[in-house]
Amino acid sequence: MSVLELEAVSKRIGGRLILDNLSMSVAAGEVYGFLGPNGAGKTTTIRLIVGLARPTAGSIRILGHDIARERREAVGNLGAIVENPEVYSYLTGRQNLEHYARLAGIPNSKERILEVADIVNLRQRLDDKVKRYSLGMRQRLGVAQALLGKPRLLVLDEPTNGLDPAGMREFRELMRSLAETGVSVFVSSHLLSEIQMMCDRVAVLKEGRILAERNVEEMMTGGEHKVAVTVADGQRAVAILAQGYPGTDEKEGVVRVPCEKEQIPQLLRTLVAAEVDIYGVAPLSDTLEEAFLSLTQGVEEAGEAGV
Amino acid sequence: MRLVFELWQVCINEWTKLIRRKRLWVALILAALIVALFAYTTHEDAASALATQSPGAVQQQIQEEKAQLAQFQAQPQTANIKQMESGLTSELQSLQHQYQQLQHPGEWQQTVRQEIQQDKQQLSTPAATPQDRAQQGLVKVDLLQLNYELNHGVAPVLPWKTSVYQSLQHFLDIVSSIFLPLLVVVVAADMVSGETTSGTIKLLLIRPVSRTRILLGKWLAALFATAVLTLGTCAAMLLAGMAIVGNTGARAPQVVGIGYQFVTSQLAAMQGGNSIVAIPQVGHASVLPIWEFVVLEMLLITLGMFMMATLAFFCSVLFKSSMASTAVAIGVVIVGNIAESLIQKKFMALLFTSHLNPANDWTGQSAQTFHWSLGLGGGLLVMALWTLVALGLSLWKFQRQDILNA
Repeated sequence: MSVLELEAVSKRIGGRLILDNLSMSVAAGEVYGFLGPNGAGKTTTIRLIVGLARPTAGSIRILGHDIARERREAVGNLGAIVENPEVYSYLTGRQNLEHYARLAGIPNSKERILEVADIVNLRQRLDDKVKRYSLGMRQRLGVAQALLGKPRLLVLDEPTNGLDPAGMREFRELMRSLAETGVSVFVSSHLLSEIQMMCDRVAVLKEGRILAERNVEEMMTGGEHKVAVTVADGQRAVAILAQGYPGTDEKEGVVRVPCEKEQIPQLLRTLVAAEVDIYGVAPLSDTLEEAFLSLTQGVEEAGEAGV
Repeated sequence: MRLVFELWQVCINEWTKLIRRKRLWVALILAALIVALFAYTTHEDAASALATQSPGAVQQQIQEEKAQLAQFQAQPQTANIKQMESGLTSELQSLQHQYQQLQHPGEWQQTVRQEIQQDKQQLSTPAATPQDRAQQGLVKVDLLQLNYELNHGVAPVLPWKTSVYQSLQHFLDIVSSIFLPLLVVVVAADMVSGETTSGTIKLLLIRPVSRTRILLGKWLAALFATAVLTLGTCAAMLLAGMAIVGNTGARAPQVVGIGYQFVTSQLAAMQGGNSIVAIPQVGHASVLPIWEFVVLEMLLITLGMFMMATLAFFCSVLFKSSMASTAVAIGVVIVGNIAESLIQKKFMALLFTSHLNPANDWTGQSAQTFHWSLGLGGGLLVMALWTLVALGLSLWKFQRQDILNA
């Protein structure tokens, strides 16, 4: 059974259709990324999933429980951070966690609070007022409150906002370790590099519709392998390779040749024989950014099938 | 059972947040200031009463007037002077009579019996016009008080002494129309809008607890804070007053439950009064010692403040910004008060500002203002309606609201 399931979800706000017939599902232990340009409807989708807003049509189910009808069971399995995690700055970190623990109805709240404080590394500053916390610490407190009820689904909207690179890496590792224990993570972010490193599957949203949903790996390589060769005279190299390796192109001295790993030695011999100066060879994968941009701009990537 | 437990948990949360925010402490400081103001005015009134009404003071006045009379008598006796002399003489007579009474306070029962006789005589003549009936109604009220004084052995308060209950009753009336409501608004008007403004509402609502329970918990915490503020301020004023003027006049009679019958009279209008004559009805009236009345008045004012808190709470649900909700709540109180003094129509009795001090409904004072005899029961009913409608609308809006921009 999928942990999160959206079925034909639409949202109309003031006459404008923000989300149009959205359907997606997240499996147990999966880290699912949610991408889209500004105004695509990502934040609205997240707010619908956590119950802050109601869909105009369609249903949202968490572990099989419809969030509109079986709210308690649905939200009981959920932990979330929506945009900046606003906590009460006039309370201490511990008091904030106690506040949320009371609403979650968890037994042994004192121990659980210390547990989550350890997980996010806030144990030492737990009794300071939140107004003295740095942005990174507030972010970590936000993760802590999301983890209090031992949720099966974590919904995160821009969770690494304000974290330094060390913090981001810690966060990534935390998400991966949670996923390994069977927790599903649904994360929406602008940082494509983060999504690339953290997620298993990714959906791209544009103008309220899902453009594509696939595995991260697949999206980056487009199912095709390429090699990048840095040469002195790119144009000449392309001319030489055009026949044997169709689809070769060149950009700023880097020749991109569609070829498998096994063909690399032969490729290099061809170039060397033609006395092309070679400075470097490496396998090439599109970054997620390029794949994302080309998708959302409606331009088909050469060689990427089925977009 | 889980409902109660969850609600209790929400209340604990909300109270913890309330006491750590500045607003509650600001309200407490303002309350302390008003208590200090009451203590000061009571002290000043007591001092002035002592200075002008004590037997010594009256005796001094008598001496001064005698001296003045002697001065006039020494001058040539014109018609003007003779008039001044006769005026002074009659003043002297009443002052000396007053002095006599002050010298013999123990004989008050005699005076009371005499007054009862006079009242009964007035009632024996048939009442022709509505004004006569009104006058007779007032006499009946007076009779109730006099009989109470006689039967319960309640001596009247000596003129140079101050009854803390009298001055508190007067002060409470003033304070309950604007000041206490403002205190309540300061505390209650940002219970929800404060969290919307700061964004903490998002994390508050992503919980298994239903929105209804969260809102009810907030409301109950606001009511509790209101009760603490109102009763605390009133009790502090009473204690401060007692510390200054003691406990005189605690058992003085207060008549409650006076109904009114309203009769239009053209004659009254022609004679320069109001065309509507209010005729007091003592059929359901009763008499309480004033200390009991003041304590009950404090509880009734607390109920009035509960209504106010619920209205301020509704503003905080209606508006996203805590500044807007506070401003609107304060504005409504002030506009209501201004309207009350300008518009003297019957329907004004249905406005919530008319019932912030329900003790006025009980004594019938508000009936005289609005020409509508609601009584305590009617007043409480109006308050309950305002409270329930405001709470109901708050719950409805909060339950359905999309939180998109908080």
